[in-house]
Amino acid sequence: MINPESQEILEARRKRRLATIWVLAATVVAGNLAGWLGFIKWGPLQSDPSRWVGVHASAFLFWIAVGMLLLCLRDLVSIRLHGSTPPTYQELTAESTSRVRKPANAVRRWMAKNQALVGAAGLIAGAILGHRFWTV
Amino acid sequence: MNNVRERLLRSYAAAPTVILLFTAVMTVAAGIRFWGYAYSPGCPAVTSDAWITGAAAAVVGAFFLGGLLGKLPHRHPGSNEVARFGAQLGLTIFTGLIAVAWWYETRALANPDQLPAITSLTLCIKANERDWTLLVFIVGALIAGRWLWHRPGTLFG
Repeated sequence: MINPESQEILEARRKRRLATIWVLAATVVAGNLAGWLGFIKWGPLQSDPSRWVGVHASAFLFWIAVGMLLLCLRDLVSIRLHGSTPPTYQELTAESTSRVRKPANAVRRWMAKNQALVGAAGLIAGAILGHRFWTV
Repeated sequence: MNNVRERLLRSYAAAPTVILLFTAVMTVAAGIRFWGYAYSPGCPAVTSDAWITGAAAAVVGAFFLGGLLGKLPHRHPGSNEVARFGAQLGLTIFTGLIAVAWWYETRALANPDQLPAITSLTLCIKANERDWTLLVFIVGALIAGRWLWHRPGTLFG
């Protein structure tokens, strides 16, 4: 199927999405720092040394989830405006020459091809951890 | 109306519809079963064997069974704007629920005297309703297996 959008538009959309991801990553970092420094009050045991790791690990996952939610909302608006999902690196024909992005794309390709194995490994690791630590 | 019926009859719509119905039934059933349930930290203690349990083996097995189910013939309508928007909307709602769950979990971990953590509630539910808990985990693994093994470009995709 031929994509009606030109390559320039696709690349511009990809760049805008990457910029949003950087802003959201900064939000995640700022949210965690605010929790560590006590600007965000989660509860009285937030600064208890025996609970610190558990509370802030949970807060970290909360901020990650918030970042993903905002990115999903942004993609929802993008789909509504453009009538297509935001382009992935696979739809951009030119392979990046960036020293960071090139190996990252290779990892992405491997993960996409073997995601069932990655998922199975995650499921089995989760089952073992759940069985070991929560006696499930 | 016929158009809606035709759409629902297509196999790609049947699986999500069954999952949604299953989720709705389980949510209502759990609400009836546990409404007003007085949580106490002293839920029945669960014991753990050193070896993998039958339940854990069943869940892992369901993941691989999900891969086999995807080999059954099915029609796919192809991507269209409504489907894309619907899928993204579903993903957004799902991610929102996860964010709310982590917000609650973090508050519960920092306020253990006032709020039970989700992990504690899950263990309580498991201790009280072992069979239903196992069924939910098996269905979840089945869905994950069906989805992961058959993504475009993957092993069977």
